[in-house]
Amino acid sequence: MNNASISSHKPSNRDLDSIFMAFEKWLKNRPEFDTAVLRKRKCWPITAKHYKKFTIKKRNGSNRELVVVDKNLKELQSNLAAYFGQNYEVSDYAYGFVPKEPERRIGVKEQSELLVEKLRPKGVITNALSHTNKKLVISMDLKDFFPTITFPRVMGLLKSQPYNFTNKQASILASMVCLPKDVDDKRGLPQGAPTSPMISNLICKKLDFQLGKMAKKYDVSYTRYADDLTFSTNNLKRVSANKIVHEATKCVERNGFRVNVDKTKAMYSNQRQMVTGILVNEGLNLPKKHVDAIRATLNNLEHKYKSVDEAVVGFGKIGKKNSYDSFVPLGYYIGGYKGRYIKAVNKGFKGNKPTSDKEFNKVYALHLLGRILWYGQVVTTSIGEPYALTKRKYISPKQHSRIIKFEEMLASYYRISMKYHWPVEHIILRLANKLPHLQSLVKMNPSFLLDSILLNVDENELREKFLKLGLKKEEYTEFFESAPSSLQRILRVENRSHTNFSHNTIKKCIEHGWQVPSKQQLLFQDLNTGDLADLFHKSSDKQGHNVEKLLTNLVRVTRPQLRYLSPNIKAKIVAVHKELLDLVRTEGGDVCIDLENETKKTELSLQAIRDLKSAIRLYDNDTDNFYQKVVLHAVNRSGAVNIFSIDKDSMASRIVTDIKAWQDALTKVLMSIVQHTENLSSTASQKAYTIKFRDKNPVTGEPRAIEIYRLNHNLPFKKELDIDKSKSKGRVMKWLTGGDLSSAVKSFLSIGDIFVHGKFLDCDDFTVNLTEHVYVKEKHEEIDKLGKLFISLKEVND
Amino acid sequence: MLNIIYFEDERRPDRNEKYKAFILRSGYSNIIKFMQDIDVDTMSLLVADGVICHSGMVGYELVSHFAKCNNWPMLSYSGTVDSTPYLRENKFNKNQFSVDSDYFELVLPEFIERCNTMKERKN
Repeated sequence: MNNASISSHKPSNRDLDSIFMAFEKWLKNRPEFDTAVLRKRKCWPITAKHYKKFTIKKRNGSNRELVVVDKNLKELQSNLAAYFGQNYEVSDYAYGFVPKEPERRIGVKEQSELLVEKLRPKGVITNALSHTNKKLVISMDLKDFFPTITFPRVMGLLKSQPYNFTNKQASILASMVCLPKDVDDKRGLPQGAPTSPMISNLICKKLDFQLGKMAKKYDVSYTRYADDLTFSTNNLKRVSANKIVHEATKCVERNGFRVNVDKTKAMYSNQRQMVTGILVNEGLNLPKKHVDAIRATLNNLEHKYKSVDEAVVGFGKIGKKNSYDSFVPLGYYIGGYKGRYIKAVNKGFKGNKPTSDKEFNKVYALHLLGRILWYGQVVTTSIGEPYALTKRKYISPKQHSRIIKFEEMLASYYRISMKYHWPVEHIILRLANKLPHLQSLVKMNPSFLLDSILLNVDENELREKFLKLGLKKEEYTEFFESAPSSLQRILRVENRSHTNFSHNTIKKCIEHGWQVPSKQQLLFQDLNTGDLADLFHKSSDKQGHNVEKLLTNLVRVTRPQLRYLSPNIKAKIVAVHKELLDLVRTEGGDVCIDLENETKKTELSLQAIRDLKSAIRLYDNDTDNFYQKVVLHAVNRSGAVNIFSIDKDSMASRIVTDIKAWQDALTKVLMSIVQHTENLSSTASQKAYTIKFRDKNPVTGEPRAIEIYRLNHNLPFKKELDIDKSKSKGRVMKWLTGGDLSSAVKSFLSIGDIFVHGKFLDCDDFTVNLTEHVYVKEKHEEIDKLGKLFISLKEVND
Repeated sequence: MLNIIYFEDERRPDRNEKYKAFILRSGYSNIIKFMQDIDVDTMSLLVADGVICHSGMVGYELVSHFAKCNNWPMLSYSGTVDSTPYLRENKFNKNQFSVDSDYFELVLPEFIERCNTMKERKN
């Protein structure tokens, strides 16, 4: 549903594209049975060359044999995995290798009817969740799980429903997904191939069905995570542990598997009941050893160590601890030695330069955060999302204390990130929105938070309406009609239409906000002559401005507008906020900032302020004025200085605005003019175009604008409006902008609209708003030596 | 006699005191009048030979607009870091001047002189 877009009945290019993409996907994912083609792709016959064996040590000391699949075969296997994924119906008891049901496959109605649990992705946590608070938990393990799923079994699967492959087809596919004879005598599934998990789940369907039936009979809960079978019950009168183990073993063996007897455990509630690495005695929890390891690391980092290196070396010295106890992430070796060339950790990409300390610290920070969030995920899973204090009565005291522990860990991590300058503040603040305690724990003064935690009433109402949108075009039209005009403006521009709006553009706006010129102007007004002007004016106090006061003002003014600012301005404001906040946190509430005298403490804040200043403030001096920074800059970039003359009048006013937006929009407009001007030569005295600037008139309310006049006003704007000329105003249904003009419109969205005036291919004396695509009948008089008004870029007034 | 208007900053009244005190002390109070009301109606009726205001005050844009329309010499004293310690003339608009607020006292006589010259030129 998310990707649905509403379009007209005529097949558009986008429709054709999506049909083509679907066909391409089908072509790519369909199984290949032609051995000649497979041979060409170096995937036939499958031999030991396609698999490279390697072993890793298991925790019990024995070896686990894994394989690396040759890249050609792996690509083919990945396509097969996608193919099996299309009709991947596993039993309800399987929790391993089951992807989350994509939301788009579930309709809105179905979603509301489904329980939250059903939408939760299946995994180790949900597997464990089924066995919480049980008197008896039995854990069994299948011996050599993948190796016992052999070639004939896979053949059998492929020849049966729903695949119904012929003998030949099944044998080719089975050869692709099973190990060759020269690697494994029994031709089992390779551990490390992308197809093996799915095939194993499909093979286990019968086993799950039989064990599930047995479980129901004895009032037992049953789940399977890969080769881990777990049974649990509170009804010990109905069945004994031995009976369950006996029946399950019988069933397992009947299905061609073997039980790893050494690993079979019956755990009663007075013992530690562990399911897939998670404790299930009372709610979900991690083993104490893991939790303590995280807490100890956090404590040491916060109070003892002075650098990450020290922490890593410290853990290297622990020696006998298992690997999961140490916090030595990728790139570090035992003893705290740093590896080289580690980059882009998530992709495993190796850079060609030695890795910087900053990069290592980031790896370490995210590694540690990962551990904390894993604990958080375990302890909050059964609570429901988001965790609300109001529901506290439904949470057991133990579970509640674990959540508090998690919040404390995050708070400590936050303080550590401040200490070591890890760039993870945004992650913690995002989490703080969900975890009520966290805000106070990180000593967040809510008045310092720049991001709005809650949407206001109107924003919420809009979001609700958006969430109810279905697939019908009328619903989208209705939504559009009821949306605020500023949102309508953006949706028109983004979709280049008055009637068709894609779900994704609406979603983006609703989730992240959209550019609203009037809101940005409010902020600029404050930065110009309001309380925020102090950011640029030195204080009468010798010590400088009080940072806490600056920060409070910044948050007060900016927070309601932040969603509606241009990305450029937003980034600058956020940077100032971050630096000022850091200054208050590290130096305390009384810290002052002197704009003229930079100190070591204030240099970052002052740099951020200077960056903001250079992005928004234009002066009445000779260099940083509108003429130099915007108009001349754009004319030079357009590459046709000889056809534009600039009327400098009023171009040296003091203005607070989005300089980049003016620059980009004007440059692109001029480039578009240059492209459409046939003869670029002009006489020195009379250039073809004149650029004028009109500052805001506070008396008449006329907005600030750049006006471009054209001498030869008899030339038309080379587009047909295709409008009813008898009407004085209306919509232009055919989209006129493309290329440079289209990007000019987008660049100018945070400031205002772009207009074209005068003659068009099919009419004269009209003004068209190229942003909103509306027209108005309007005649402009010719001005001596300038010609007629041709294009204007105007601020939008509220 | 010259009629120069000093506009008071309503948002930061504390900021005015220093400058007002200097004007009174230096004996310019007979030609410089203090004014608080900055609205369109008052401004459109205003007759002046020059105006003075802080560049970060509320209403600066209105004062600046009317100064441009009526060709009033305008002195804006500024607390911004890059403002100059001397009377700087705007090259695009010769009637507009600016100065670092710390040097207000130093340049005031020069500004008054400029207002005087312009008034004489008009007459």
